[in-house]
Amino acid sequence: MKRIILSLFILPQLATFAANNPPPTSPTDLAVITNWGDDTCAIIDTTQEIPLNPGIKVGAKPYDVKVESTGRFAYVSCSGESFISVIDLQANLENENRRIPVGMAPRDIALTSDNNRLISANSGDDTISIVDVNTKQRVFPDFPVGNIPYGVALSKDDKTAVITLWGSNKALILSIGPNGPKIEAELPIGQLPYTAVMAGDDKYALITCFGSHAVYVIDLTNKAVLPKPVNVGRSPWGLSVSADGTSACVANFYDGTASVLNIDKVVDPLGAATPVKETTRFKLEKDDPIGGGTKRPGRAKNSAHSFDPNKVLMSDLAKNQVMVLNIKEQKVERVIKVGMAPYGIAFIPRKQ
Amino acid sequence: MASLLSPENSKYARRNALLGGLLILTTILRSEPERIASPYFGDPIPGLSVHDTKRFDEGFLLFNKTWSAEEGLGPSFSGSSCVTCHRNPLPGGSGSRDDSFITILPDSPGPTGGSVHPRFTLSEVNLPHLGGGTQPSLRRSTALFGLGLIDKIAETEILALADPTDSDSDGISGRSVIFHKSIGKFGWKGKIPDMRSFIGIAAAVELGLENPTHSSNFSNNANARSEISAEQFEALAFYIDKLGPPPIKPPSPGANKGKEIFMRIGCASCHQPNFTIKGHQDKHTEIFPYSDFLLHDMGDKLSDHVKDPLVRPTEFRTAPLWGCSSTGPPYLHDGRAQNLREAILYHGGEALGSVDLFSSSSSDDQNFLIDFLRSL
Repeated sequence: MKRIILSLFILPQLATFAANNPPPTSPTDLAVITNWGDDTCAIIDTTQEIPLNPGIKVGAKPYDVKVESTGRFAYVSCSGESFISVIDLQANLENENRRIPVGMAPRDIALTSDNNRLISANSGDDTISIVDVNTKQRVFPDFPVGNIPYGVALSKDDKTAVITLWGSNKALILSIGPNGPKIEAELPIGQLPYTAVMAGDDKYALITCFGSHAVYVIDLTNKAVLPKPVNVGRSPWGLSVSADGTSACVANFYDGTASVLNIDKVVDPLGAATPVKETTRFKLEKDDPIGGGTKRPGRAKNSAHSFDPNKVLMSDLAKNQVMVLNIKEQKVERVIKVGMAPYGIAFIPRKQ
Repeated sequence: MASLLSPENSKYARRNALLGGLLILTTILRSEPERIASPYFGDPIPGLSVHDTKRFDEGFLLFNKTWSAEEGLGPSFSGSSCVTCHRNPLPGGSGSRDDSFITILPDSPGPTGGSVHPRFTLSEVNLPHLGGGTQPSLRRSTALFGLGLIDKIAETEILALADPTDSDSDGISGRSVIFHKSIGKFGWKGKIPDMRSFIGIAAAVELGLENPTHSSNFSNNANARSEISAEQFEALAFYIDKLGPPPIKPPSPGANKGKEIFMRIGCASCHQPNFTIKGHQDKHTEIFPYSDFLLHDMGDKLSDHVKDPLVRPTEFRTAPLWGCSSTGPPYLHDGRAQNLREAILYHGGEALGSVDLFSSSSSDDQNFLIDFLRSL
């Protein structure tokens, strides 16, 4: 009798819970967003307009986020601190015991392909940290790189890193070996370089230069900057590359547009033809029901590609939302309101 | 008694209705100050023409430009570009690291209050010697968002808030320095009268660039030839003049409660919420810097020990609070406060009464107040 009564009580609760928390339509539809303005992260389902979990508290000023390939943990650089917050994505909570000390004011981060190590660009003390995420210890001493490092890109074999130096308008190519990192090249690029990504099977690095309104392309084989940067919209900040490496999407901050770039895997040895071209630029607009249908300008900060090459997420600092873009149709399909000043985005991969 | 609906009453009723309608219409159509808002930090004020937007972009490039010695950087300087110091959270912002702070020597007071000890020199110059007893003070570079709007606040509006003799005995005085016949509105010590002077002094002193308005302290150039052209200076001044104020954030219930506390415990006595200015296209515009731009005694704990005949070591111009949670931490003139709560607790002097009320408030009320500051 007790069991029947208990079941009658519990079953409706479960049904309500299931209705309010429907399972995602696909694991690759979930993403983590860092809200720099209110020290939280949000978990969103990109097919829904309400976040699944709007406010997971983390350290101060969360900037970048990377999710390991098993989908279990998300690593968040806290630019107002000197550590990486670790979110357990099963519990949707930060595990403060797993916080990883790094240098001051970490910005962009990269995870190695085995999920064991993390590199952070520490804008507060001009170093990079290479840490073991399991032991929370530094693998090597923090490595000085130069003035205000922001962006980090890591090759698939984890042996080459590109670091952007925002304060000196340069990019560094580092080799990472058993004895630690080594600077292989220091390359002048455009003004205020923010984000770096590897592209074209790691033959290139693409770097957004906020002050030059262009994406600079580094030939990693020859360790040289290609002579013609790719002009994009005003003040490009975030950049992401499709899973197959053939296209990229750029968030142009001050004109609220997205640039789509085509990436040719063949490197012209003479550098005469640029392997990267802007093919499309479109305005990131969607009628704002709160504004009575009027279009208010957004400020696209970051970009992340889904496994579907046509689906890209961009964070909008001005409207505190994430935009789901359909690249093929050049439009914003959906907006998802998140916390204050959403900076970082990472899709949560399929659990293995 | 005549009926209310009689022809005579109808005529008066119609006239009164007409007058009433005209009054309502006039009220609606009367130009109320509009609140100026930009989408995000670093955006221009809204409503710029295509031509002015282009000029703004040119100024943006100059603001981020790294100057070389050949172009006139130095011979002594503290940074090689404006954005070196003014960058947090975006170009045009404040300084957050020690290398974006300026070192001020306590003697020989200059326009920024104290003389600047530059971080770098290209050649031998007669730099002040930092003796054993010297107590230099740091100055955090301030955010420039909305500087042009502050420039347009009428002096009479600021002086109306001053009470140098504390005639109302509320413990708050507030005064202005008259510098070159104008009141000081800019700089931590309130000694810089206008935006163009602020830019010219910064270019000359922090970058060593001779410019149409100011010479550097250590110029080797006997003729003080301008190293930043008049055209470049105007482009830079235009950019900063048109830099929009911090974006408006959506209110939260905690922030609303925090605002009541802010007003109740007297923070607004110095952090005056708003001014009405004549803004773009001469429209009456309301801005919300949360500062009265006056000098106040902040107590001995915050003294910078600078001997200046015009401004006492414990006096500082009220810092604007708009955007504070995005342009900081750190906070205060030397960046000693690592969060807003610390910044409040460091207040002394004229602010002691308000700080005591804050300290004795419940932790909920304190958090609401912090929420409010974060919402600005």
